[in-house]
Formats: sequence, C-alpha cells, structure tokens
Amino acid sequence: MKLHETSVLGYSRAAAPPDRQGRLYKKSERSSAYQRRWCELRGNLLFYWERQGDREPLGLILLEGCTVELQESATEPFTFEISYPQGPPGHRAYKMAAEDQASMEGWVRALSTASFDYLRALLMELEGQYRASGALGTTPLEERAARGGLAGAQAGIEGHQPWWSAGTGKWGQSICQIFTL
Amino acid sequence: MRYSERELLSLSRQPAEKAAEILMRAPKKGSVLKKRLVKLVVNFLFYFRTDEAEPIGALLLEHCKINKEEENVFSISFIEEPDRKYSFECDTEEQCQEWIEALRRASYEFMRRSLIFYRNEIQKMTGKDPLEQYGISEEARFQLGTRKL
Repeated sequence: MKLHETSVLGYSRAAAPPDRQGRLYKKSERSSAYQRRWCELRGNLLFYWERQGDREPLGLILLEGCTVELQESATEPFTFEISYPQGPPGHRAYKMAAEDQASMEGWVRALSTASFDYLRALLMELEGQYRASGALGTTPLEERAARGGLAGAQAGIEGHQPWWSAGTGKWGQSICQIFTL
Repeated sequence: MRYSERELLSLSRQPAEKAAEILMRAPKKGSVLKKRLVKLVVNFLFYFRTDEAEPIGALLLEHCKINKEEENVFSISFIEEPDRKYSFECDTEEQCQEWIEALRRASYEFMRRSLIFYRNEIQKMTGKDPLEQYGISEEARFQLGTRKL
C-alpha cells in the first residue's frame, strides 16, 4: 500500500507550531540501541527527524488505536512505549526515552490524547454541553458560516445529528481509557 | 520516509465514516478513471481495487483542498502541489456533495478548530472550562488564540 508522501510532507511542514516538539530517544528495531531523534507531534501523527531543522522526516508514527504506557525500568529510565494492543500480532511497539521525568510525563500525556478518535469524542461531548447550555437553533458552525466567519466552504450545514457522530462509536470507551495513566 | 504499513493497514480495516465505489483518477499524466472502493477512516482516505482486501493507497487529508469540479466530480489537491489533483467521479451530484462535505470535515485540523470554538463558547456561557474535568486544559493542542479560527 502506498501512502502518498506529498500529503504527509505538507502536514509535517505546516507553519503552525506542532502540538509538542522536542528530543526523544527512539529504540531501533534492528540494533536495540536508542537513537536520538527530533520529534514533532501534529494531530495524530508523530514525525521524527534525525536532527532539528532537517528538511525531510525520517519517519512517522500513527497514533490511532494505540496505548502509551510508562515503562518502569531501572536500566532504561524515563522510557515509555507506544503499542497497538488491538492490532494483529506482530504489530510493532515503539520504545521511546525522554531526557527527564517532566519531559517523559509531558510526552506521554500529549501522545495519549493525540488520536482522531479521542478528539472526536471530546467534540461530541462539548457539542452536547454547548446545546445544553442553552444555545438554541443553529450550531456554531452554521452561525459562523452565516456570518462568513469560517474559512471558505468548510462550514457545511449540519443535519440533526452532529456529523462526527457517524463514526466508530468507540468514543465512549476512549475518554474513560485515556486517563488511567 | 518510514512508517509502519501494518498500522495503516489496520486502520484501513476499521469501520469507515464513509465508503463507496467511485471512479478515481490519479494526478499522473495520462491517468484514466478507474473504479475504486474509496473509504474514509479518521483523516485518511484509503482506496482499494473493488475486489481486493488490501488498499492500493492512502491519502492523509490534512493541508489539502477539496474542490468541486464539473458535474458529479470533485478533486483533492495538496497545498504543496496545488496542480496535482486526485479526481473522483460520483454517480450523482448529491453523492458528490456528500463526499465533499465529509472530506472537508475529516481533517484533524478542522476538528481541532471546532473544538477550540466550542470550548471558548462554553467558557463564555458558563464561566467554566469544559476541558478541565479531563485534565487537559493545559494541553497545547487545545489552546485558544494559538491557531487561526
């Protein structure tokens, strides 16, 4: 399967600041050594470069359907693992090490909440609260479209059901699972 | 650029937000329209040969534009290469419009902007930050004012 690189490279070079960036050490699959990488989190993708400022990323890690767990290891401090428990056996897990406790915790928190599914679950929740708080009639997206606020044609008109609820339905679990750090 | 094909394959098997058989043409010169099973899962668009279980390819739907072309046709182009368009010909104009709307809303960035908007509005209406209960108020990704709405 071909992942079209243009689509991904464009996102990796976006002008907006990434959701998180910094130095992490990534365990190599082949050599088991930790290799220093410059990492940037954008949306549900973790990009990594050999060095900060390099043009093309070495690679990316998809953060959907993954769990991020702290590793309690005396020999490998500040490590955490990104794994895919629901994936087929043989799925790769990524072992990462941060430079200190604070950095590790920050990264684990950021990566745990990075999935599209999680964002969608939050949106459903907030949309419900928004309606419950007495906002009547049109949704904010419709209002913004009417006022010409949202950029271009992105503000579609919603039906009775929020568009993002037409998804997998796993959202209910996602929110509960996330914060058992 | 390295990525795990297994992760993507796994994603392509998840329930889709939207899926249909659509005629598709790649941006390459001389490309012809071919019938593909097109499947939208989170912010990825997968496309399959109609009789195969594994996708031929995937497009990440970020930093892209969904354009209405002629009747029944829409295209996807990426900001870095605006002239290279992936074309899709639907059966009906209605199906075409449905896909355009679905794809425009399928990006993480679009959802993030919506979330920030709701957060701001709820805070204004109730005086409380709705993200506080999840312990994520300080996450950079959800901050107001750091992104253009």
